[in-house]
Amino acid sequence: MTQRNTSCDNMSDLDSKETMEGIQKKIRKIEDQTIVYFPIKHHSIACSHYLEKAIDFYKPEKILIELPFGAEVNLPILQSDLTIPPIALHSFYVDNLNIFELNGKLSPDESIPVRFEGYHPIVAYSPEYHAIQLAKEKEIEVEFIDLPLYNIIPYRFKQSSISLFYPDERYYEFNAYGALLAKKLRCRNFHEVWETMFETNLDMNFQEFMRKLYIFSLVARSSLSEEFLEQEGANIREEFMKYRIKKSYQDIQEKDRKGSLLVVTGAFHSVVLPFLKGKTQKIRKKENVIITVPYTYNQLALSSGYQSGNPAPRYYDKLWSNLRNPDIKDIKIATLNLALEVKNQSREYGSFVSVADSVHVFRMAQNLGSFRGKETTGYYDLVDAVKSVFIKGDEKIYGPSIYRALDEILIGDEYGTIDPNLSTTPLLADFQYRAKKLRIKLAAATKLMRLNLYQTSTAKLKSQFLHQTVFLNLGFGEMIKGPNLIKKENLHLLAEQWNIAYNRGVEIKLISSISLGNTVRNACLTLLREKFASTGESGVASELLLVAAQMGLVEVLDDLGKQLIDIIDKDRDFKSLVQALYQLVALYNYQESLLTEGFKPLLRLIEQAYIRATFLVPSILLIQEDEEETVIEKIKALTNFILSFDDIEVDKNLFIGQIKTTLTNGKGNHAVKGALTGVLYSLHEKKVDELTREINGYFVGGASLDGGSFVYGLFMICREILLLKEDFFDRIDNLVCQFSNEDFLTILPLFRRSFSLFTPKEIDIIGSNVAQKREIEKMEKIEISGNLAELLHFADQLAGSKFEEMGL
Amino acid sequence: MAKEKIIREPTEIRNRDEIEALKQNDTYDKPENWFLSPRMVETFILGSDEVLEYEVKDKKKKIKITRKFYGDNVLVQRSIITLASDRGLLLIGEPGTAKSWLSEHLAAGISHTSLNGIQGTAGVTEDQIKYSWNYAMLLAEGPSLNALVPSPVYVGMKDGLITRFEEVTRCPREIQDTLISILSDKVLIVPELGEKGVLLARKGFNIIGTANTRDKGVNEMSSALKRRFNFETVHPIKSVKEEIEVVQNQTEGMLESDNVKVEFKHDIYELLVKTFHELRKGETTDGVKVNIPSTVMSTAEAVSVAYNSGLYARYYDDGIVKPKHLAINIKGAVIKDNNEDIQKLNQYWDLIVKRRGSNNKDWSSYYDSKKYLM
Repeated sequence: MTQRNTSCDNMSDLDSKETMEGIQKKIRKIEDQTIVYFPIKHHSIACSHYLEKAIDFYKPEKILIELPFGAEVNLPILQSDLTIPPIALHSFYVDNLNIFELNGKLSPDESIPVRFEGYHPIVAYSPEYHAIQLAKEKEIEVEFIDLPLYNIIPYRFKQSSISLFYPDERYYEFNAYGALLAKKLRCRNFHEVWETMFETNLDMNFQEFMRKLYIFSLVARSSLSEEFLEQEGANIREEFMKYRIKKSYQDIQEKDRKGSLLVVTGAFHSVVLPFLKGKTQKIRKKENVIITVPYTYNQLALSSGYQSGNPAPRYYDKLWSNLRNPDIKDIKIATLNLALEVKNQSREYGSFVSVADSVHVFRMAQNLGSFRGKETTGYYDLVDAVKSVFIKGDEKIYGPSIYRALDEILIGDEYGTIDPNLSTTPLLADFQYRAKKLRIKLAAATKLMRLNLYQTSTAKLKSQFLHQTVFLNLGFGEMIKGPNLIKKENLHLLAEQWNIAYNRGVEIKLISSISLGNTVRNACLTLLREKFASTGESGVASELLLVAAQMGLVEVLDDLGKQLIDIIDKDRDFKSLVQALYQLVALYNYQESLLTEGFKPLLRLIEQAYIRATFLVPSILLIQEDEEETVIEKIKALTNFILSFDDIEVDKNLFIGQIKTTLTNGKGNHAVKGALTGVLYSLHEKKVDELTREINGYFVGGASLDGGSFVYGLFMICREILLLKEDFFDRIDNLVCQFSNEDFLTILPLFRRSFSLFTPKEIDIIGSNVAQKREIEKMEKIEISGNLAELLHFADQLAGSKFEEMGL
Repeated sequence: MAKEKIIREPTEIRNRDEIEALKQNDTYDKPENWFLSPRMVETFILGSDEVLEYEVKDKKKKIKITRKFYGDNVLVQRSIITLASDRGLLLIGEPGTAKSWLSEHLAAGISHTSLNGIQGTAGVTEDQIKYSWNYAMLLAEGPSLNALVPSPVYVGMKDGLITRFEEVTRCPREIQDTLISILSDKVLIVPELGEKGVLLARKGFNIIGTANTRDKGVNEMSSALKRRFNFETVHPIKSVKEEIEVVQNQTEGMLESDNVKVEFKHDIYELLVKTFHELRKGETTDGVKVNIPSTVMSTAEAVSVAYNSGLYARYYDDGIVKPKHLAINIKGAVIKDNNEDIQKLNQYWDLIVKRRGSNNKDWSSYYDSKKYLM
């Protein structure tokens, strides 16, 4: 999007369309209206404070609020005493019919519908929320007048399907006027400007406040380009809002009384709404699903960004509570209390700060606020004071614990609550229902659950359910012990052990995942399809197939299996294909326990993965050194497959042929060459003397690092050759003895790496063989540590007096 | 003081016009005994675009306040407010990050003198912090105020002035702790003088300490003393553009003060500052990793290299500062006590300077001067 400059040094550089005279004229016109347009900034205590005064003064018949039209169904929840912010209005639309033609562009595949989502976070001091509570108290009718999500999609989701976060703090971020004010007012960012100009000034007349905010908004808005506003969808929203305002006005009894209709919108909109004609839009109720969900302060702080949003939700909450408390009212007390809380938390993290320090913070914060021209202490004054007073030394060393405490206290980690009697989120309800049916108790305390998978069918169903919760990342269950089919660990175990705990976080995740589906099962299916469609790696896709089976979602296997054929065909990564083979074989071997015997294409998939992996063998010579180990492990896995898998006719010769072709190429990674040579030996395609000839070829001129790598690769596949084949052993022995001192030292690290593949017992055997060869009866072990000791011992025996000569 | 005989004027003299203009335009509240209000002290240090009118000897003048400190503006605000409180200010940071510079300007703005100070060393004694005696007078007259030789802390307390204490953590710990009761109770007792020996600090008194984080001392300061200070960590300048401005301004000022006329182009400053910036950070501006020398590549060192290059160009060359002059002088700045740093410098030359030299003549000339690093 294009935008005018986002920073400038002087008003003359601002490129604003407005003049002071023009501004005053516009404000007079706004104030002359009988409809009162109350300007707000979202999550602002000052705006809530003055809005209440305006409502008390004007006693409106109706209040119109900038929230999604149609979300009024949530009013009972929003007005319930059992609903406690932070909460959010969550809008979502799943484009199953590809109406917006963005499936496959904003989703992994055309078959996967895009899930559009929007949040309107609400805290106790949000002006919109406060208006709703006052409306309830004073029995004033309320209507929401903003365009809902479905209508905004063409404007906001062109580039990305990242969830849309209301409110439109972006207008403040992209604002040269805000940047200019920051410079003039000696503020570090726009948020501090806001704090200085508005948030810390709670003793104004409310009309004065409104006028001040009108002036600011008019100048700020004029520094945004029309193109930007058009692209943001601001114009279309404002026309709709004006349409709703005019419609509501028709129903007002006392049309001539100023303030009988009160409109609460973002200040950027308040200053243009009076001048618009209004234009409606078709609202599709079915497509615009809006529910109320619990939210967290953390989410709010993260989502709104530092520049213009709400960096410290809990801080403002404390101030608001103070302000609303008739016994306190003075928000300065909140600052002192917060300083003490930060002190306590800092001490938890090992910082030695005292009550005296906290008092000093309070005084310093007040002085900073006063110095910065604020009527009362603000957020930045508190943070700066804490920084100066609590950090007693180098910031790098003493800072982290203080900053951590600050974040925790000022941002907070509170969860909101929705009235349980009024809210029913299908996904949450389904989760609770299934847990109840499976007799899984939902308790906050962590509980250990043991499932004997082969004993009862219920245990199997429980296991599937728990795997589903893990897949949805609900944080409900964690398998601490049991067969891990993905990693091929503990496969001998017949029971799973899970830690489960049900808490607010699980609920919030369930509620927030509503766009995935109405049931846990459907949500897993949706997510599974999305992940499957977005991966081009057969290894990942096969793993998802296994995960689906673990979750008991066998109905989707056929469909995913068809897609997997295509993925395997296009996969050009050897490692991925062997991984796919691995997972598919596991799926096959455990089909009885996974109840997937009905999945017929499995053997065909296995064969296809094998053939494709084999075709890619020549490509693995070109890998980097850091991939060696992984690739050789895959070669090993492929070889094991050929040797052990009997259920299909595996064309071994295809693999052997490819290896031979690959090895005729002189260039490439030598460790991989060694591994492939080892495979040929394991498959009886190469004899021992051929191996030793090849090794000798590397070391003709002395120590060869390539030779060392080759030996390493060879040993990774068939290290038993050194233990079982005497002639091979003798050849290696002779080879090492022929090295000069320098060559030996050069090759030592690589040989050490190769010999680290042997177990201690095997090292002992090798050492004994060497001793026997040299007729050494007694061996003394040098107790240093690990393989180095054994290697030195081994090398010492090989070299005879070489170490003595070298003075070691 | 005759200008030509002074190596370096204190800031209150160097910037006397600005201070006078600020004083005459100061309408803000100020703590008792402060020369300028906190707002004007801030303006003095951070500069302003506003043109101030002032009068000197009945002549009307105009002046713009120049920026003195480049870095975190909010740090300056916090420092000023700290000095208006009952806690001292301790500026800590790596060498060359303008701690003493800031301390000097704060003292000049608040008390109109930056000269009331102590230099911390391992040999500092309690006498140098509190008071000592003129022993001749002591013997002649016995203990009296006349015989007492006040320390800068004593003077600061008596006259309500900011007292600077440079490198406070270099002093032995037990000597540092002398400050505890001074900062805590704001009283200094001279037992030898009996009742007359109680000095209560006047309003306006405070202490600005500085400490170097490369020395271990800052972390070994007693907690009792730490509690009496607010700490501010001064970081190196983050913005290359700002650092160029600092180095250029400082160097030009120093060369002008020495009456050394040279041609020193902005591009050459940029070349120097980029070198320092990138070696300090361990990464070039385009994201290439480089090894960090063990020496602190501070802005002050960059100024020193620039200044020396100016002198070199003037006295050994044609008066035009070239990249080779930087190369000649940079070695001494980088290589202090660790010979591995020469390898790191060479690596930087081979990896970064050479690459940039392929399409920029200044960097090419810079690379060609590699021989001077040997």
